[in-house]
Amino acid sequence: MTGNEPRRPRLLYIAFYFPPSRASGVYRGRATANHFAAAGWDVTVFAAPLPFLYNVIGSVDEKLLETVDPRITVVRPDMDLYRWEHELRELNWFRGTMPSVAKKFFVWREEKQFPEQYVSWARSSIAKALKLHRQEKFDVVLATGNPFAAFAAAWSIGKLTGLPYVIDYRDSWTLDLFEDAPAFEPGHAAWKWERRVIGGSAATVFVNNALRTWHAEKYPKAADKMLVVPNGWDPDLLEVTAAEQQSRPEPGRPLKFGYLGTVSSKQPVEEMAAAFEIARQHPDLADAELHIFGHLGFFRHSRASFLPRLGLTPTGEADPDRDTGVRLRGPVSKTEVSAVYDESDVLVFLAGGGRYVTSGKIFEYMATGRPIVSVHAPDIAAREVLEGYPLWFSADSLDPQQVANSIIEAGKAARDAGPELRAAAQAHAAKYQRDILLEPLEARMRQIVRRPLSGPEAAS
Amino acid sequence: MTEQSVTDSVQKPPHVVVLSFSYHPPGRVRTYVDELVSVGVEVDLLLAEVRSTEELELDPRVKVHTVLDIDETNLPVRRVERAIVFTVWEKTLGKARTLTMDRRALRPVDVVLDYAKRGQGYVSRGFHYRLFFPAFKVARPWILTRKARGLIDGLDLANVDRIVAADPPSVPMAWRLARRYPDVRVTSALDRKPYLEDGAD
Repeated sequence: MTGNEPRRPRLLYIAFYFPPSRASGVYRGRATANHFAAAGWDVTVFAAPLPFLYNVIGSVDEKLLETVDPRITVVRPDMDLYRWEHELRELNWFRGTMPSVAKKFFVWREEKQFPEQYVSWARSSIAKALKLHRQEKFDVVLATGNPFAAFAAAWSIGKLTGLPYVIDYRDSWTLDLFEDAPAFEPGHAAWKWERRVIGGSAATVFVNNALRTWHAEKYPKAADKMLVVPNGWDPDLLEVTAAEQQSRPEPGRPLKFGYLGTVSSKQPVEEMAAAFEIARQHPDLADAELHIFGHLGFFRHSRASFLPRLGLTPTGEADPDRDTGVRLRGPVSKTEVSAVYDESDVLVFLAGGGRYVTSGKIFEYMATGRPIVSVHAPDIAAREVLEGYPLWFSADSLDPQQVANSIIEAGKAARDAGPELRAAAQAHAAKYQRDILLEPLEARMRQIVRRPLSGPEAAS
Repeated sequence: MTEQSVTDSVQKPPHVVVLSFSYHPPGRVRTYVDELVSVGVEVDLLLAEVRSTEELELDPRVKVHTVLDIDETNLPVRRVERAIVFTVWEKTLGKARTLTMDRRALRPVDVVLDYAKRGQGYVSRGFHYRLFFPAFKVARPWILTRKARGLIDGLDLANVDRIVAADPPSVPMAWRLARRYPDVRVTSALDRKPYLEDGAD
């Protein structure tokens, strides 16, 4: 490269959850890095160390790693796995003989730096960033949370190098999405850190307008630097059946409703089961079934508590005395997701939380072009993306009778909706392809790097 | 390996020793040992003291052992501390007050003794809760480790599949066992996978 050639903008992307992790937040990170690489950026990603992903979390997908653009450089800063060390032979004398004192000392040392357990990774990220920046200058830093220690790392790197940084709230930090209330008590260090990182950022990104508004009210000075980048869906990861190839259920064949994802205690599970039981009494939904593809709860022992709430026997079978129509199909791998959508006549959007929750799965649901029936609080943030989807059925309530009416309408739509309507639904979803949604962020980031690049450094 | 020893290794159920030295074993520990024995794992559960077994509803197949056969408050260190910090002062001041109470001439002394008694209570409780007890909490796992020597020797730990330190107070003992039995896996994870998934199939 000669001195006169314009340099590619160089991005440091701090994304703890990155392939091969298969955590729910990994898809946004993967898509963001790929999008910037495709747009001509030189992207370096700081991700979680592999021993943490393989030995501690244990949730990895090697195939997902293959979908990362090969032009991206992935660096994995070290992390202190103290909290997750279970093998007692590995403990040093201090931890082995005085575990409580050692833990208190460790937590005190970590918390005085940042109130989160990933702080050691952030610390290593800062050191690694400074080293790489000395070798070849970065132009901008983008950090995604959680973990929010990534924000602290971006802020520190900005302080030490003068680099502008952008933070991406993939998840909420100080707002409890399910309670619609602050997640920390007043005076907690998280508030000080949030004020600091938002105040110093060149832009702050949120996944929906409700979250942007909440933060804009809390930090009005930074409000004009806040933007929304919804989650969207990834066409390269989801095989979508075209509208004209989708077959409608034959007359007389019982309808299949599908829910894909983990069922959690925050979701209106009883309401869904009760509404489906009522809806099955309608002739159009005779013998209809609601198939749940996913785990019941996040822990092994939580499964049992969900079964009676879904009207199922302790073994997970349909209760002959009260068949709600709910059937458990268990978790499916990412490669089977398209088949699940194909076999579902209607998709059930079961979501917990309220006005700040969008839920990532709704974008994939829309991409299928199939009828979607909502079972969630009426003021949920997901409304803003569902508005305009022609096959969306919502009761605007969690009253079982009203939800049942929506289910019946959705069932009718599954039988009646032709290719044109399904194509219109898919056209609505096409607006939420991840690459399209990331364009404004990429444009904003170019504006942010323009000043340093147009300065003496770029001219040299 | 001979045919006989193959048969033995197939028939022998896995053996897990669980240490839980909290004052009362937490619910997750109780669930853990119950789940293990329900799939045929032989489980020895070591608890701190006799009182730890109170209101403890466990599968009868779990073999429960206690390190102390007395109430922990009756350990010599606790008794000595109680005597020095509370009993001696209470008795001394109490006896003195029996001599001064209801005697007009000694009323000023009685008032002073009354204040001294209240002050002694305040200071003794402060010492006990702020100084002695935190120190005892640190020393307690080591006291239990020393007291458990005989019990441990009787358990043939060299031949168990794993030793589980189910709560922080049991870590020092488990750490020592990890060094003493290098071929045995010693962990603080309540990991059911090796037994429940395989055992259930």
